[in-house]
Amino acid sequence: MRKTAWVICALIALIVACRKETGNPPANNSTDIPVLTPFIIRPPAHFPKLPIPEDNQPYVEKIQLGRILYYDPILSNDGRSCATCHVQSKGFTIDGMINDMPVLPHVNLAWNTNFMWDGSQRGTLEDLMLFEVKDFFGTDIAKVNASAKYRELFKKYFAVDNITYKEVSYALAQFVRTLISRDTKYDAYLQGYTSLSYDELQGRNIFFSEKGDCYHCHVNPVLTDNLLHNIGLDSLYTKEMDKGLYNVTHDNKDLGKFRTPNLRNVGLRKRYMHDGRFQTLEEVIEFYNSGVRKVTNLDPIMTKAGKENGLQLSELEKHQLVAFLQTFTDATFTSDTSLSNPE
Amino acid sequence: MKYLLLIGVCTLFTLSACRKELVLPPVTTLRIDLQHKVGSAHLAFDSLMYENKAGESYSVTKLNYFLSGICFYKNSQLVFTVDTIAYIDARTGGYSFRIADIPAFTYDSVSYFIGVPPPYNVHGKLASTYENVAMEWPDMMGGGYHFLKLEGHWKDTGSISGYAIHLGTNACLVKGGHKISGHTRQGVENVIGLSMDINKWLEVPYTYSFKSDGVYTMGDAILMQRISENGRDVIKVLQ
Repeated sequence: MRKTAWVICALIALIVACRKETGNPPANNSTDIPVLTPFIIRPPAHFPKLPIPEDNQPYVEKIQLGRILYYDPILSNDGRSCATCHVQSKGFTIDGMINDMPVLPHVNLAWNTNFMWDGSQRGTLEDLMLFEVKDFFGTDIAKVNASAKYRELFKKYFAVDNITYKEVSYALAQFVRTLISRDTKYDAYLQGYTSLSYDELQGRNIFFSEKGDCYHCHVNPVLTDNLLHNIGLDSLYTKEMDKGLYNVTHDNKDLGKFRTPNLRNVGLRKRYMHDGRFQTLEEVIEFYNSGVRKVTNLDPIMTKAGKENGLQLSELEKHQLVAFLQTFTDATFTSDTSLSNPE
Repeated sequence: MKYLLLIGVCTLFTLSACRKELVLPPVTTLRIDLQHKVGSAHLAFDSLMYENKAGESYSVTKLNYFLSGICFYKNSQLVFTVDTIAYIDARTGGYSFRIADIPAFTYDSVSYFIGVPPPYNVHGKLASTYENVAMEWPDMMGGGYHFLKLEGHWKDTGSISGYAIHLGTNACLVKGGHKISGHTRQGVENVIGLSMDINKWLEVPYTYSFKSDGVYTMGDAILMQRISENGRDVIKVLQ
């Protein structure tokens, strides 16, 4: 009987020794293995699968560290933090503009691979955050290393003694990946929890049919196709900023191409298009209705026969489309305390 | 000692019950490669250098589609089905996919769909990837997925305009096929090449003209049907 017990014990020991490691990522310059709590980001079932890099899997503690950094002016040299231009109550953007351009909101960025109005940044959220830290803010990494708080936190959660741009951008990406708008009236409608008003439904019909044809670029349910298009805003590109993707590629075919903005919380914004030329949703719709310029590289999707002179929506239809766009407002997202300043 | 003997016998019994069949049928790997051409030249995006049968110069700025239902037959009997609904973005270059551990087989004809077979052409039926979501066909227009997005610009007596050939709905599923003989060999990676000729979307049997037929097919049942019929011959199987 005793021998049997030994055999069973030996087998258990063997199984335990052979099991796959499922714990924390390896440390890069410290012998301490951080003890972290895995966090599962759960987008709604009707969203696309969330891409997360293997080497930056979400952990509660790392997300919290990213959140602290997001609201800390230590990253800049002029007193600004990420949250200065990405204000939660505004849908993680601001009413005003920076360098004559509206600030693209930090919302559902985890699905994106093209960033900035002109697509000048590409890759993962980690790549974007690296750009923000290193190039946009020009973060003084020595200043971060000089902070006892961050030395301790990065040591605990990233197992590093010397903080580099990589760990800072990875921590920020952890937090920004959780900035998911999922609780709009439209989401509730898609999941069958609520109904839309008559005007909102009519607006939806315009949005998702050939009448408005918004859906080809503002893809359901993420509301951006993550691509760049020339929508006929200008026929002459006199200002450098109007050239869009051309400024990145220097290819004429990319003149006037800009990233499709995410429409989540679009009703909260005060500036629209890459130069903020429109200040209301009504003005935006009027542009599509009658103001599109017939430039040579106008996106092919906007050249439908019968709509050469715009969408031709009636006043009522324009009103209904605005009503539907308002259903993209997410009050939970703009007030969720788990996303707000932790201080 | 008795217990140890019992454990040993049980272990041997379990292992022998679970072991794999020693006599295995010949298995092989199949790789399907896709290329995109206009005539005999490889597709170059964004260049207004192609000419359709109607004599119109055109470019291609987008070519996204689903390839599915690839079936191999011998003497009209189905011998192998590739159980993949492949999303293809031609801008990303060549596309290939591998199917491992399949039986070796001989075939004399191949069929395929450009699009999504009806059982899967339902909102949310395909894996929820960004690419698949971006191919969704609005439910109020029939639902399911775009089978094809072929977009670009064309020259109309001096001025340049856009075109967007979009296909969707079950009635417009493109069913293609060819008589072509071959066999897959054991122990090697078998490669079957498929080549799509973009010009053929606008050529056979219906000579499609942007000027007279229109530049935008989505939601136009007649235009989509014409393009769907033209689609039957757009893919050539290479040996």
